[in-house]
This record gives sequence, structure tokens and C-alpha cells, in this order.
Amino acid sequence: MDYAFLLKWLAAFSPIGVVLALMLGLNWGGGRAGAAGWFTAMLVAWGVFGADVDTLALAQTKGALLSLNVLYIIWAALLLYQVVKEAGAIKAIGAGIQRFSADPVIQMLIFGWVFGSFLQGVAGYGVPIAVVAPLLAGLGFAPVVAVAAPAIAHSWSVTFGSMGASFQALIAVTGLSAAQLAPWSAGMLGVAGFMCGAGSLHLYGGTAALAHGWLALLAVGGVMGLTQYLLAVGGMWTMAGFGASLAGVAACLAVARLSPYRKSTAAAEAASGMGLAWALSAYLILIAIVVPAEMIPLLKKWLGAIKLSLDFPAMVTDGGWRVAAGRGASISVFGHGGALLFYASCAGYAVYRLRGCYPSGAAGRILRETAKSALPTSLGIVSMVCFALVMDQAGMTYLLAEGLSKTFGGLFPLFSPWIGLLGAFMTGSNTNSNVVFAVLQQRTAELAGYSAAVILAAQTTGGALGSMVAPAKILVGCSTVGLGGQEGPVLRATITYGLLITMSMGLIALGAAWLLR
Amino acid sequence: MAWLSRHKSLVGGVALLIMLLAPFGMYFAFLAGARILLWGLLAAMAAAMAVMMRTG
Repeated sequence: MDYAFLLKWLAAFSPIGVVLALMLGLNWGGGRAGAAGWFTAMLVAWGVFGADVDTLALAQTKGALLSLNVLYIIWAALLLYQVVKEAGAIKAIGAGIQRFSADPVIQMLIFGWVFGSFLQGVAGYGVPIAVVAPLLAGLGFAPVVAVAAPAIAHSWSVTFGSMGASFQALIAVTGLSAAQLAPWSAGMLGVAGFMCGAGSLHLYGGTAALAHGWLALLAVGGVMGLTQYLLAVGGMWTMAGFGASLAGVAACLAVARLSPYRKSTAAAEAASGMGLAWALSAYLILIAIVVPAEMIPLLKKWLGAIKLSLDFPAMVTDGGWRVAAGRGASISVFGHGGALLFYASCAGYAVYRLRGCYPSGAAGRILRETAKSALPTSLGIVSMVCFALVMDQAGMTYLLAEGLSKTFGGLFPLFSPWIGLLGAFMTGSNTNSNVVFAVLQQRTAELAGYSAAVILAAQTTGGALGSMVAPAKILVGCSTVGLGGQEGPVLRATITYGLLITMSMGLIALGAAWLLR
Repeated sequence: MAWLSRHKSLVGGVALLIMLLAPFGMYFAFLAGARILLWGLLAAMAAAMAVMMRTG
């Protein structure tokens, strides 16, 4: 046993340990825990890993750039939510869905699983949780369930969502082709999809909800998983997440017509005073904006013409960790997901205003409420992202993964998804997890004689599943249902399912890797 | 400290501004070789984090 390595590994883990202990043990909010994690990470990076002041300072700049990238979406998502809420449309959506199906199991699957996956397919970072959580709360689900269920349910769709950004990162850093990576990645994520749907149902209603919803779960999960697999393997991986969720919407609506789930309360919508279509108009506008903006290459190029970023020099710590020179996160001012949400907010506001849904002074209230809910979330995200970047730039995150791969040797595939999960937990991003860890996983797989495609599928699946436990994403959802500062209970709810599903993925990866050895 | 807790929104807003702007100041201070400014901005960032940890 190399005790020096073990001590260094424990030191590298300490900022994560501090954040987890404070959030799960003492119920601290994400912002406070993130700040504590930041101090720990800075001290360990400087004292143990030999990061000098320049490395630490540039880590903050990279963190601020990445934070702005994320906050752009969050601020705009909160604005959209307040626009819809102020018009009374959230209540109307709840009533409208109850008319379509009053079965809470179907409501959970439609919103948390399918609609959340659809939003992941077209938008990405945090949007599924930010948009779906208030809708579920409006339907009467408890606030913790309203945030935790979509966080669990949508995570399977992250790799191929956002036009396959995370999968693209996997291809870029490993040098393997989409044809080599897609079958195992799509297959493993398809299996995870069932588990994520089941997890959200179990969180809502325990085994009774699972017993009631198993048919819908199998039917919708099968359609989504198979569609994603066929699109990914067929070379259309940029469309795989989006196509799968669209097929899922159709399947879910069909399943809701089956006798076990066909319950409706026609009086509910009439009482709300606004039809479902009108109530959903802001979200329909969002879809109408996002789909062409992502799928029409000319429009995408035009919207993405202005990008803000900074170039960073190469850095080396006293501990020998080298950070390559490169460009930080770039923010597309007009084509960013946040910009698209902002356009939808403005258009949605105009539609509701023309329909006379707003009382006087609504615009001021919308802006005030948006700022009020955005502040604690923003503080939490900046502190979390900055502490993750300090760990990354000092080589601490890499050392954590290296320790796992060294320790578990032949059983390494079992832990591959955990490394992906660790990356996503730290950065709140499947893409960043793949960028940081994919090469490590690939090299370890090659040294141990395992199939790199299987190990990398486990990496990206773990990275996707990390979305449900990433504090940065939990913070987003909590802010939209008035749970700001109470992220601990939500994280406790998601972490159990996250760990169970990741463990299952590890077993699948181990079996597949041994079979193909 | 009681004042900080009473004016949480104001304090939080200022802390957020520091946490988002100071890192860019650090970047340009690094490029310009202004070591004292870089240290000062890092200290400001640490102060903002400390206030946030205290007030939530």
C-alpha cells in the first residue's frame, strides 16, 4: 500500500467530503457548503498539490467563465418560469394535465421523465429540472419530490441531449469514432433510462407506484431507449436524445389512454380559467425557437456568430501537474441556451399580455421575483464551479480517478461509471466529466485489456447519471420551487437512486468488459 | 454580523458581483504581471466566500 498516495488521495477528496458532510449531514445550502468546499480546495491545492497563486487565480477565471455560461441559462429559465407563473399558467397546466390524466403516476412520467428528457434534448444544462420542478409542484407533488424526481428521471438523456454535446466531447478527446462508441453508450444509457424512470416513480410513491406504473414504464422506456439506440448507431447521434424524447412523448400519450391509467377530471381545467394550450404557450414557443435554432445549420451559425471567451496559458504546479494552454468556456451571446430561453420569455410575456392574463404591475413583479430566486442559486453555482475548477486545475480531480483505477485493478470496469459520476458531481456537467476523465478511462482500459468502448460507455453513463446528484443542478431546481437554501433533503433523495443506478451500470460494464476481453 | 444578516440580499448581490468580476480582474492582472492586484482580488474573492459562508 502506497501510504503517500493514499494520504494525497484523501487530501484531494477532502473538499468533496466537506461539501457532502455539510449538505447531507448539517443541511447546509449549496452556497454555504460550496464556499466551505472552495476554502478547503484552495488550501489543499496550495499546500498539498503545489498550486501557486497564478494557477489558483486562473482557475477562478475559468470558473467564472463556466459559471456565466451556466447562469445565463438559469437566469433565463427563472425568468421564463416567472412569466408563466405570473400569468396563472402554472396552475392551469396542472389543471389541464389532470384533465388529460389525473393519474399522478402518468403525470410523473410525462413531466419528470419524458418532458424532462425532451428539454434535455433541446436545451440542456439544468433546464429540465428548472422547468419541470415548478410544473410538478403545481400539480400537487411535494416540493422535494418535484425537484428530485425530474433530476433522477431526465439524467439518462444527458449524453445524447443538447444535440449530443457530451457524446461529441467523448469522441473528441478519445479519438475513437462515433460508430465505435455509440452502440455501447446508447445501449447502457437505454438501460439506465428504465431505472431513472423507475427511480422517479419509486421516489414519488414507493413500490405501490412502481406496481401501478410498470406497464407504462416498460412501454415508454422501451420506445425511448430503442429510438435513441437506433438513431445513435445509425449515425444520427446529434438527434438521438431529441428523437428519443419525441418518441417518448407519443408513447406516453398513447399509454395514458390504456385502462389502468385513464382517469380524468374535466372540471379541473374549467376551474382554472385557461386552456392547457394557452397555458403551455410559453413552452411551445420555447420549442418553436429552440428546434430551428439547433437544427437549421445556417440559423445556428448566425446565432452563434458572437462568442465571448478568453485564452489561457499553460500552467504547471509544483507537484508537476500540467494544465495545457487553451480557450476557456465560450459564451455564444445570441445562440446560447439562455438566450433562447430569454427570447421565449419575451414572446411568452407578449402572448399572455395580449390575452389579458397579467394584472397591473406584473412586469415589475416578474423581474423582482426572478432576481430574488436567482441570487442564492447564482451564489451557490459560482462557489461550486470555482471549487471544482480549483480541484481540476491543481490535478486533484485526476488523482481521485487515478486512485480508483489503481485500487480496483481487474474490477476497474465496476468503478468506471463512478469516475464519470465524480466528474459530473464536481462540475455539474456530463461534457466536462468526459473531457476530464475519458482519456484516463481509455488508457486504463487499454492497459487492462478491456474494451475501451465499454469503459467509455460506462464513463459517459456515469457522467449522465451525475446530473441527478450534482449540487449545481439541484440548486437550479430548488430555486424554482422555493426550496432555496434547502438543497440537502433533495440531494439526500437523489443520491440513493444515483448510487443504485450507477452501481447497476458498473455491474453491466464489468460483465460486458469481461465478456469482450 | 447582525447587519449582514439583516441585509442578506444586498450582501449576497455584492458578493455575487465580486465573485463574478474579481476572477476577470485576476486574469488581466496576471497578464499585466500586477502581482499585488492579483493577490488583492484573490483576497476579495475569499472575503466574499467567507461572508457567504457566514450569512448563507
